[in-house]
Amino acid sequence: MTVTPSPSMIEGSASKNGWTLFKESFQHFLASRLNRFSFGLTVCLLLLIVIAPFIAIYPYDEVNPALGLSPPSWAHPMGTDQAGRDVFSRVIYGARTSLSIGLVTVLFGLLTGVTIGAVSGYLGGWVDEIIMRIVEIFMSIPGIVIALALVSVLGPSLPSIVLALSIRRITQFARVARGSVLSVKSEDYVTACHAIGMSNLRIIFVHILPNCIGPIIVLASVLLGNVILTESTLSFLGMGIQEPTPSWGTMIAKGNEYLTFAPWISVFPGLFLFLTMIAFNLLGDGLRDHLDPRGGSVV
Amino acid sequence: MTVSSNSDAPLLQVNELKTHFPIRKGVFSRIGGYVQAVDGVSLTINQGETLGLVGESGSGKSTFGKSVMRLVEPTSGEVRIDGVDITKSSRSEMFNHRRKVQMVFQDPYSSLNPRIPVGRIVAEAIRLHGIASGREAEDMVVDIFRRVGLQPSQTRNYANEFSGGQRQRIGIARALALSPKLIIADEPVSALDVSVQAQVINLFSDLQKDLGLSYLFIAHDLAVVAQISHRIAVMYLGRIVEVAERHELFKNPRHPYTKALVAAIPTPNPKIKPSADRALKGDIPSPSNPPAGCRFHTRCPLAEPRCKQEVPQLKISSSGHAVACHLA
Repeated sequence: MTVTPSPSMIEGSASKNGWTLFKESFQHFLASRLNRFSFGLTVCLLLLIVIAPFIAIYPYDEVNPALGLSPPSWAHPMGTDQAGRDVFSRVIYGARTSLSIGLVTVLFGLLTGVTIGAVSGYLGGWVDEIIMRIVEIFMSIPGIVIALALVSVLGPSLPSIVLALSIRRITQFARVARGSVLSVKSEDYVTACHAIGMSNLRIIFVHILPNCIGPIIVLASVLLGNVILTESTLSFLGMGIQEPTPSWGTMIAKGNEYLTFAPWISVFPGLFLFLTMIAFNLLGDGLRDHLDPRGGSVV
Repeated sequence: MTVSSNSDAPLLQVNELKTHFPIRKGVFSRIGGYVQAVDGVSLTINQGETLGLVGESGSGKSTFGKSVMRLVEPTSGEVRIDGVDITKSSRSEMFNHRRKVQMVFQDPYSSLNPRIPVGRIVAEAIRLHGIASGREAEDMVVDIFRRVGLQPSQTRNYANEFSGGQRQRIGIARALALSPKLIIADEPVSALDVSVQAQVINLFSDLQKDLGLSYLFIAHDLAVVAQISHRIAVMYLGRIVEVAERHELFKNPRHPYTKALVAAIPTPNPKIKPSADRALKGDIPSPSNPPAGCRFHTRCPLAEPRCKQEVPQLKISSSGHAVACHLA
């Protein structure tokens, strides 16, 4: 496999400026057909968030009991749900809630969890013991219980849902990051950093973490779908996104009751969730390989 | 080649250095004992001199090298660089000492960060210590690359694009970046092919001639050490058993362990049969529970009853040949 380093890696060592390097690196990333596919799909999905009002045919909350549970037709390409609301329009609007909750939660969990895990693994000793025991306490409580408790205290708003869903992801990212940091910190190139007197913070963020991103990217892409589904559990228990605001998770969960005779209510949001998962998983994989100067599939 | 120093203090003077690692057991991390990796080592290295340090795996030679750089904290003893004891230095004082002593690592594959271009790896030390920045630092890196036999254009490549020998040259370039006086080379050639070993050893020699460097050259292979060292120290289970000038050590090894090592060097003459009776039997004992008395007595062909009780001291003869053996 050929190798193109990402722009951040060569800053200062080449005569080209950062933007040219980024463009070249990006073009090389898109040279792979799989990367083009995943990147295109991701862009389309994110575009939905912005242009939802323009492509949704009906308002997402327009109730029409006369047309309840009607199958896909020209008027309603994805059918209608039990209240006669257009499934297509709700799926399009649902992208807003589901994708933003998913992305923000995973991003927040990643930044916090990786920092906690990296510091814990790097420092070791009693700091590591204390941090990891706290992480284990949170892991031993079912995630949904923590989320429920938090949302019932803070009230079911978007930020509190994101916070509630993040707690679990923080612990997951912390554990994965800690494990990778433990293996990387004993490499000789880290010892060499100590030998020139580099600060711990610089060693962690410049030398250790970039060599840990493989497992972290994979975890992030897996957790994205996981978060979107967990949100539906919260909604199901009345602590998540409140009706009539649509979210994919809620639509899948609510549609369950009608699955045998009106499968379209669940299947279409499920399809979009599936596409999201595929897009982000492939994008994550492609990004991981692209960022690895060895060019291999080293995780 | 200068073996003695002009200044009054030797470049590196190590006195009774001990590095013990606690063995933690059980849930509450009770300390169950200590691995006595380095147990009372004293050595000196003068300006422009190469001291070879040999010993088998587990003898504590790498730990000794790392202790001298405080990459592991010594338990007790002194490490004097230009007369200053660095074992008590603060973090900021240590930062300045690091310019004087640098290290080359054994494994050229794990000693270079795979995600950073090699030129930046070398430039990092220069920038960190404020020696130069920007264009000037890049020029310095190019100079160093030329010095170690690499092309200036190669600074932009990543470590995976180089062979083992080239990687080791980059490792040496990184060590040179701070213009140190002493380089601790921890088995720098043992991971390389024999033909490449010779090139890297020649590079070490050339750099010494040009820059007046001193080396602590750690190896488990006497033949390799013999090529580059002025003096050789033999380490066994955390202690120095013999120190002598290179020729003296090979001609006249006095410690039974050194004798066995010298006898084990393969000769290119097939008619000379290796002396099987000289071959050492058994393994090196555990440094967490070293034998009493002379640590070598469990494997020594000449061991006497007193070797099991009395610890032999390192005695220096008039010629500078030092041995720690009751019988030598």
